[in-house]
Amino acid sequence: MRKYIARRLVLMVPTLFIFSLLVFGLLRVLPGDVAEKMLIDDSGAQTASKASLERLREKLGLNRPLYVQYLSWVGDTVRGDFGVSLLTGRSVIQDLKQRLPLTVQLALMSLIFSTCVGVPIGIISAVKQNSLLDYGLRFFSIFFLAAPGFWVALMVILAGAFWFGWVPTLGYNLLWQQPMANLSQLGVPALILGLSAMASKARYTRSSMLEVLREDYIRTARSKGLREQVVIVRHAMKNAMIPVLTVIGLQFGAIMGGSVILESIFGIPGMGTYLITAIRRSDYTVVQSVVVVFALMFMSTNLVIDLLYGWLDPRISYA
Amino acid sequence: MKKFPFHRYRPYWLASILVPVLLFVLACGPGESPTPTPLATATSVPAATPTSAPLATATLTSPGPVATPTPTSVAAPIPTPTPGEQPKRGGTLNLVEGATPAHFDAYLGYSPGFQAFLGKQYSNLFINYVGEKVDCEICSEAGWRLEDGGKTMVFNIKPGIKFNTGKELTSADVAYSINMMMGNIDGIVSARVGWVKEYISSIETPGAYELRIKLVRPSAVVPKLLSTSFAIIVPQGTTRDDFKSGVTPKGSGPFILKQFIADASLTLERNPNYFKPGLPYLDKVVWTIAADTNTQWAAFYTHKQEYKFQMEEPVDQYLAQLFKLRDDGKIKYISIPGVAGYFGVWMVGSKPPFNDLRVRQAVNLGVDRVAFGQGTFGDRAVPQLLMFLSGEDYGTPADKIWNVVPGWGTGAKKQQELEQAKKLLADAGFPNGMDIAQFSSTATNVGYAAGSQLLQSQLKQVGIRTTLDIAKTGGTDFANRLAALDYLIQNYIFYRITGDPDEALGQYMITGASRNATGYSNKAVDKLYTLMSSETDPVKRKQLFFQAQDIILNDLWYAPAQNHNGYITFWPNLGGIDQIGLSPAFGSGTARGDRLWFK
Repeated sequence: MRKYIARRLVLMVPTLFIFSLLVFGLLRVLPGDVAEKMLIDDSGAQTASKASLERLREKLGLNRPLYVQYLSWVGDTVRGDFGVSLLTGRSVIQDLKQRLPLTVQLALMSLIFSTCVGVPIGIISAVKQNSLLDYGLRFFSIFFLAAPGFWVALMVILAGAFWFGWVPTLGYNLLWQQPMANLSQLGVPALILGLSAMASKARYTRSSMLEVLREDYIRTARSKGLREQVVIVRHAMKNAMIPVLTVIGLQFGAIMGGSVILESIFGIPGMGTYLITAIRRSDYTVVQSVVVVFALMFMSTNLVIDLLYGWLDPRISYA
Repeated sequence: MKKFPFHRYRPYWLASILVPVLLFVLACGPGESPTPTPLATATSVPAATPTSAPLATATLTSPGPVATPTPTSVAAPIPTPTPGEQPKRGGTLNLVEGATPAHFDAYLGYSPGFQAFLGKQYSNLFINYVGEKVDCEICSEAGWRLEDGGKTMVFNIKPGIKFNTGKELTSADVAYSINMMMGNIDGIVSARVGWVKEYISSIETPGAYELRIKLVRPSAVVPKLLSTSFAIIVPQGTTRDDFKSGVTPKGSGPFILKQFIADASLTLERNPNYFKPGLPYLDKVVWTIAADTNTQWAAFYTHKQEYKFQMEEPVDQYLAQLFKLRDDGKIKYISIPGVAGYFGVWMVGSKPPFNDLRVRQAVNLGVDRVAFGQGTFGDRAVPQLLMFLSGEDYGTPADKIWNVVPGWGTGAKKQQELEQAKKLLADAGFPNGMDIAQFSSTATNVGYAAGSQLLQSQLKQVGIRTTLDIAKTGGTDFANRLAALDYLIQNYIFYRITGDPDEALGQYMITGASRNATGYSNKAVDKLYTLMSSETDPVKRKQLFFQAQDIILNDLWYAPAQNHNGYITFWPNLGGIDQIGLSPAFGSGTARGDRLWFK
C-alpha cells in the first residue's frame, strides 16, 4: 500500500510539470497582458503611450525571456512561494490561504448534500424499480441533471429578492469566525451546486444497484434467509458503491470547477472568484498558482478514491 | 423479492432530508457582520479630400451660451441642502460593487466604481458638484486667478489641509501629483487625464501655499480635467508601490480606508481631520462585493444597498419591478448625460472603399437611426452628434438632427435615403454592392454587440454585406488595431470624462489625436480646434465647435448614431445624491461623497 501511494505521489511530479508548462504556455498565447489591462480601457482607447506600457512591463518583469519567467515561477513554487499577484502586489499564498477554506467548504458541503440525498434516492429507486416512487425520483433526478446550476442560482436569487426580500449574505465569513453568516452565505450555493451532483449520483447508484441486485450472490444471500436490509446494505450496497465512488471522486473536481460560477453569482470570495478575476486581468502568477492548486487537489482526491476501492472491494490490492 | 424494511433505516433517511433542509434554513437566516482584518501598510514609498460633391448638409448652431470655469475668490463650496431638508450626520452607506479594485492607482484607473471608492479618500485641485461651477477644492479664501491673458493659473492653497498621514498638503504635493499624471515622475502617463500635458507647459511652486500652472494656451478644459476623480492629489514622493491593492491610500479626502478584504468588502470611515467643516455627513461607507449583476440588483431591490450607478439600464429581469417601485415613489431615478455609448459608425477614410466620399455617404444614409437607437437602447435612445446628446450644452437640438442632418430620415424619407445610398454606391463603382469586413469589439457593455449586429443588418439593406471581424480582446487587441487603423468600418463606443468640446475634438478628431481611430485629418478642423481650445468666451467657443462639427459631418469619416443617457437609481432616504458632478462617472463631486446623508 505504501509503495503504491509513493508511486502515485512520484507520478504526480511529471504530471504537474507538464501541467505547469501547459498553463504557462497557454496563458502567454492569450492576447494582452496585465500592463495593457491596466492602461487600456474597455473602449479600446489607446490612451497609454507605448513608452508607458514598456515601463510598466519592465516594472512587472514581463519583459524577461519566457523561459526565465517560467523557471523563476517553477523555482519559487517548488519552494512553496507562489509569488505575488502582478496586479495587486499581494502575496498569492496569502490570498490562497484566505480563499481556499471557503471553496473547499463549499465543495464539501455540496458533496455531502449530494451524497446524502443522491445515494438514498438511487437505492430507493432501484429497490422500488418501476414503481410510482421510482418514476417520481427518476423525474426528480433528471430534472436537476438537466437544469444548469447557474440558471437555478439566478432563479433562486430572483425569486428570493422579489418574493421574500432575500439576498445572499455577502462579504468574507469564515465558518469558525462567523458560523451563522458563513452558513447563510454558503448554504444555498452548496445546495445548488450539489443538485446536479445529487442527480447523477442517484442515477449511478440506481443502475449500479440494479445490476448488483441481479447477481447470483444476492440470490444466494436471500436464499440463505438473510434479512432484506442485510442483503441490501451489506451485500448489495457495498459492491454497488464502487462505481458511485468513482463518480464522487470525479465530481469533486467538477464541483470545484462549478464553484467558479456560483461563487461569482453568490459573491463568495473563494478560489473561483479569484481565478476568474485573475483570468480577466491576465494576472499570470495568480492563474498559474490557482490552476496548479486545483490540479493538486484533484489528483489527491482521486488518489484517496483509488485507495478507498481497496477498502470496499478486498479483491482490489495495491501490492 | 422481499420488501425492503425502510423503517429500520429511518434515522438515515431522516438525516438525508434534514441535513439539506437545515442547510437551507441556515442559508436563509440572518447574517453576521464580518470581523475586520488588519490592513496592509505601505512598504515604500492625410487630409480628408472629398472625391465627389457632398450631399446637402446643414450648418448646425446651438442656442445659448456654454458655462466655462472662471476663477473665483470663494473657497471650497459649502454644502447646500435642498430647501426644507437639513442634512444629518451619521449612518453607514452600504453599496455593492462588482469587484474590489485590483490596484489603488487612480491615475491608471478608468472604471466608475473604482473612482467612487478612491475619490472618497482624496482631494483634487478642482472639484465639480452639480449646479455649481468647477472650482478650486483646496484653495483658501483668496481662491485662484488667471494671469498672463489666461495662460497662467495661480492658486492659493489653504493652509492646514492634512493628508491622513498627518503631513500637510502643500503646493509641492499638487505639483508632484500633476507631474505624476503627466508621466513626468516615472514615465507612466495617466490613461485618463494624462492628456492634460498637452496644455501645461510648466508648474511652479513659489511658496508652500502658492501654485502657478503655466499653460500652452488659455484653456477651459484644464480645470474640468483636474476635477475628475482620476486627478487626485497625493503626497510628494508617492510611488506606484503606494497604490498597491490593500495599502491605505494617503489622501486628504473625507474618508479613510479602514478595512480591505480582497473580493469581499471595503470599509471607509470618516476622516476626523477632513478640511471641510461639518463634512462628511456619513460615518462609514461599506462596499460588499458581488460580481454578478443580478445579485447586485437583487441587493438594491431589497434595499441592501442605497444606490446603484449604471450607465446602462439594469438587467431586464429587474426592469419591471424597478419601474413599479419608481412609480410607487419608493425609489428614484436620476438621468445622467451620455457618459458612455455610441459615437457612431467609424470608417477609415484613407482606405478603399471608404476613401470615396460617396461610399461613406452611402453608409451614413444606410443607417436607420430609429431602428438603431431602439435596438440598442430602447426608449432611452437620444440623438447625438460628436459625443454630445441633444439637450446638452454642446448638443444639437433633436428636431434639427432628425429634420436636417442627412441620414436621419424617418418613414418615407428613410426609404428615399436608402435608394439614394444604393445609387451612390453604384456611382462609386459598386452597382452590386460590396463585401467587406466589419470590425467589432468583444465588449458586451453599452450595447456594443447588439449595435454591431444592427449595423451589419442595416448596411446589408443598401448592398454593403459585411462579415464581422471580432477583435481578439475587447481591450488590448481592439486598442492595438484601432491605433494601427487595422480595420475598415465599425461602430465605436466611448467613455467621456469631461463633457468638454476639447475632449470631443482634441481627443478624437484632430490630426494625430490619441483617440483618433479613423486617421481623420482635416487642417480646417485642426485650426478651429486650436482656436476653440484657447477661446475663453463661451459663445465664441461654441460657434467654433459647431463650425468644426459641420466640417466633420460633411467629411463623414464618422457617421453619428443615437446614444443614451445613464441612470443613478437610489432609495429616497439618501440625501445629496442629486448633487452629481458634470460627468457622473468620473466627476470628483460625485465620487467624493462628502455631501451624502441619510434623511
